[in-house]
Amino acid sequence: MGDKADVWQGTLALMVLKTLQAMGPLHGYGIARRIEQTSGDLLAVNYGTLYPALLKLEQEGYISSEWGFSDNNRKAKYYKLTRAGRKQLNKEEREWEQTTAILARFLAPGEERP
Amino acid sequence: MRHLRAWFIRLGGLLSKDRRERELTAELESHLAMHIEDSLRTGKSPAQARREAIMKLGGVEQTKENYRERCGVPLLEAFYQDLRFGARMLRKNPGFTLVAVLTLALGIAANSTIFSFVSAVLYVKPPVSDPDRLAVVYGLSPIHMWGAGLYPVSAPNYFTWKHENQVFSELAASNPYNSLNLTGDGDPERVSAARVTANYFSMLGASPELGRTFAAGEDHEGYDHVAVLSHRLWERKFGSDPGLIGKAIRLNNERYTVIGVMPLQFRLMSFQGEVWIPLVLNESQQSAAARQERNLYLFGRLKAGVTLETAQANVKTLGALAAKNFPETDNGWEANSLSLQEYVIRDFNAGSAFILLLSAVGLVLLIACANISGLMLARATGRSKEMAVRIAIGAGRTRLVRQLMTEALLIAALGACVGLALTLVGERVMQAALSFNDAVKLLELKIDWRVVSFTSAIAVLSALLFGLAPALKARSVEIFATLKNESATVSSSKKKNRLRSILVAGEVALAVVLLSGAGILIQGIVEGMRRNMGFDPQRILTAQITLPESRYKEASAQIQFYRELASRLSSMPGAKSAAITSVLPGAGPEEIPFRLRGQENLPAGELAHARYCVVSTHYFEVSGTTIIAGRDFSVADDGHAPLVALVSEKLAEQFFPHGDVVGSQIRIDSADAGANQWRTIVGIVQNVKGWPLRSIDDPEIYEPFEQHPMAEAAVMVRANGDANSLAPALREAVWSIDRDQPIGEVMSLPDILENEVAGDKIMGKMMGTFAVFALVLSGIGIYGLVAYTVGQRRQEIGIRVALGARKESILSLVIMDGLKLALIGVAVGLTCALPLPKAFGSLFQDYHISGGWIFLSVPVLITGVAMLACYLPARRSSRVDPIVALRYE
Repeated sequence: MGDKADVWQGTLALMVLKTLQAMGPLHGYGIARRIEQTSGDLLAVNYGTLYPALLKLEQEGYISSEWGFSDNNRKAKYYKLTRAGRKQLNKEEREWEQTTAILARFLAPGEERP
Repeated sequence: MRHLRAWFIRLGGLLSKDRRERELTAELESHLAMHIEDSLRTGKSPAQARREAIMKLGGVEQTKENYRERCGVPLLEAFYQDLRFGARMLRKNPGFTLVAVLTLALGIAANSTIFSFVSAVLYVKPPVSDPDRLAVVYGLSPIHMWGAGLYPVSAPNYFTWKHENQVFSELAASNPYNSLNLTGDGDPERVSAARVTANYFSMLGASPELGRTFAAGEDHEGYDHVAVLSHRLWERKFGSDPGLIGKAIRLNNERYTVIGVMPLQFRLMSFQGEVWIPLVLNESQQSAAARQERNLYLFGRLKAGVTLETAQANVKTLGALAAKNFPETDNGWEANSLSLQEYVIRDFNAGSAFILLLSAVGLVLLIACANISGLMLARATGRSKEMAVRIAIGAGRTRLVRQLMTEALLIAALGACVGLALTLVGERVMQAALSFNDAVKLLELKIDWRVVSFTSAIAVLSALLFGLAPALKARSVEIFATLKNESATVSSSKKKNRLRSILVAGEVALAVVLLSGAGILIQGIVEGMRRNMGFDPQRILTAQITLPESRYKEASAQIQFYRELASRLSSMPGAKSAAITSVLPGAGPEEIPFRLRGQENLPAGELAHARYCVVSTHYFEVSGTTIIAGRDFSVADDGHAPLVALVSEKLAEQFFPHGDVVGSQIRIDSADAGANQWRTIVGIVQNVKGWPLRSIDDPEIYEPFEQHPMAEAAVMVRANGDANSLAPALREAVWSIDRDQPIGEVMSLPDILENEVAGDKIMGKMMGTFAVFALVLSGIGIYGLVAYTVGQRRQEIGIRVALGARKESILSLVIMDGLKLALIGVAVGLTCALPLPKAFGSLFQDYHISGGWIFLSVPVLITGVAMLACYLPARRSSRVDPIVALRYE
């Protein structure tokens, strides 16, 4: 199994994909802000860690990038989910649900064997 | 799958770094700008907003760094960086680079040349189809006298094994060492011929260049007068005439139709036949005599799916069966089988030669690596500040090691390229040197993929070897001490240079081993040649004559011819005396089992063997061999007189320990029953060497020619002056008796002997060359170290001189240090070299190997070179101006 860094990388990637699915095309800052909000400010990570993750997702073909203009007419690089990304997101969502369900059974109190 | 895509993009990312860099900077800037805007909106001050934004980002440079690592392939990029840096470093130190590259190139070239030779022999493609499925079946004698001990088998063996083997789809036989007289077209000539079964060519899958090869049934009586010519004979004698097919030639005065010509490349092992004719065997001939005539080499094609090991087992069983069923003739004999390739190597006894050569050049390469390592160590000390700074800024030590290894690889790569170029030269030289042997001459030494792979491999290996020491040393650099610039004042530099000293001592040891090995070998050769051969080859001219059966069927006719010839030859102007012999002295074996009285009923397998020769009167006079006891053959020992024989000293010693040799009886046990007659020994002859470098004496039996005439013999003429000048007269003498008699190989005896030892001499020369390389390289190594140490100790020397030391004491100081090292190396090397004589003794059984004065002269030689190598830099150091030295920082 990968070490903590890899696990974190995986989770971060999932969060990025979900964010893009929910919000549509978004720039790096926006994604970072959104993740922070959604996680209820429980995660206090550097925004900087996002960019390598974005690069990896782009290299793997799950997102694509394009330069555009923000609301304030500022030049920014926008990321968008690709079809492969959508499929991957669905797959990972299902996997996470499965994992949590199994773990829940293990960790749930009262399910003791006689 | 996705990962692969990512990797590819990363690889591509190596190329577009600048663009990515700009994009990233722009992206991060816009990120920060947006963050700051948001912060401003919540009321923070611009400065605060900016600081917060950067902190939240986690540092711009850090982010960039993390990003960059994902962008390309960091490992490759680092490597590329190291390469460029290394190349720059090498360019800045041209002297070092030149010496290192040349030294390595020399070592690599030597190795690659020998390797290309070995690979050419090992991987030579025999001109047959599917050579991996071909095997040679041979016999192993219970006692063997010569060389590799791989014997041919008998015809009954062939027939039995052909029917009863389970592993060969086809078996063919060849009797390769015949000579026939070719007459009719121009001068009569003796040609070497191989008699082969009809399926020989078809089984081998060898196609003719012209015409066809034998068809089934042509090895039977009545259909067998067909012949296939070799390309060389066709070219030389018949002018490459394509219309020769279908024409007739006269071999041994019988008419043979030429049906085909084989291409130039067709040769199998050491058989240099010029003509192939069918081998007619009579399967019903199963007598004991037929069993003892072993002259067939068997070639078999393995059945599909059968491995060589299975075949070997089967053949061994068959051999054991033959020994059991026919104990009088085959007792003690074994059979075995080898693949074609292995047989060639065994036959040439090439295995040990290869090992020796490869070891020698391997040692040379090691010494070269040690030299380069020393050079790099010297340079490393000079760069210690650079290393310290780099570590201080944050380069991992492993990164440093990687960088130094990359530099080493760079040198290795350069060395390999130059080395390959030098290998071309080396191959030319080697090819020229090996042209003495026809089989070897045809080898093509070229730089193929095997040689290139080998060169690359040893280049990388060398890089690892010589790069390791300095790389490890760099790892242990003490940052603070170096950066604070604490130069070694007057401290002894011995500890610092320990690694280098070990390297130099090691070099010297290796050189000692190599020199000793070469010395022993060369001494063996020289000794062997100088040793008294038992005869005097000088000024003797020889020729081979084969009387064709058609004209000289009767023994009386043969005797008549040779008697007349001997008399005409000895009365030639310029000739002292002449004689006839079945085998020239020193020119190889012809061994035969024999019996003494009391051994009449011993089974054939238990008989002792002796070398065997049929000679005319005056033979011992011509060859210069002394009769030690009894008498020589005389004209009285003719066909009507009692049968006599002569034996050598060795036979007398070995089989008649109580004396009374003269008067005892002896009988040879040959395949020809008519020749096996009891003879009375009338004298003892001096031992004669069977072969120029042979160190052992063999028992020998001589019979007088007139009592055992043969059709095939050699004539020997002792000339008053130059032997070769008598050649035309010799030919005239033969043709004056019989115009159609072909004469084969008119050569002086010294030339013949020279040819026999040519191979060994080449080996000796090669080993000697490598030993000299080793010596020179170690000398350079010692010189380098001493020069460097002297440079380091300038201050110390300056102080000594200032305090009053004289030039001589400085000289001796420096030289002593260097010599101590050399002596340690010599001691170690000698210890390693001591077992060499014994090792060589088992590898080269015929040589006379002794350790002796080699172990004395090699140390002296090396010490001498070491002293010279130390003296030169020492001289310079003793001239140091103390003021300059002390001021030098």
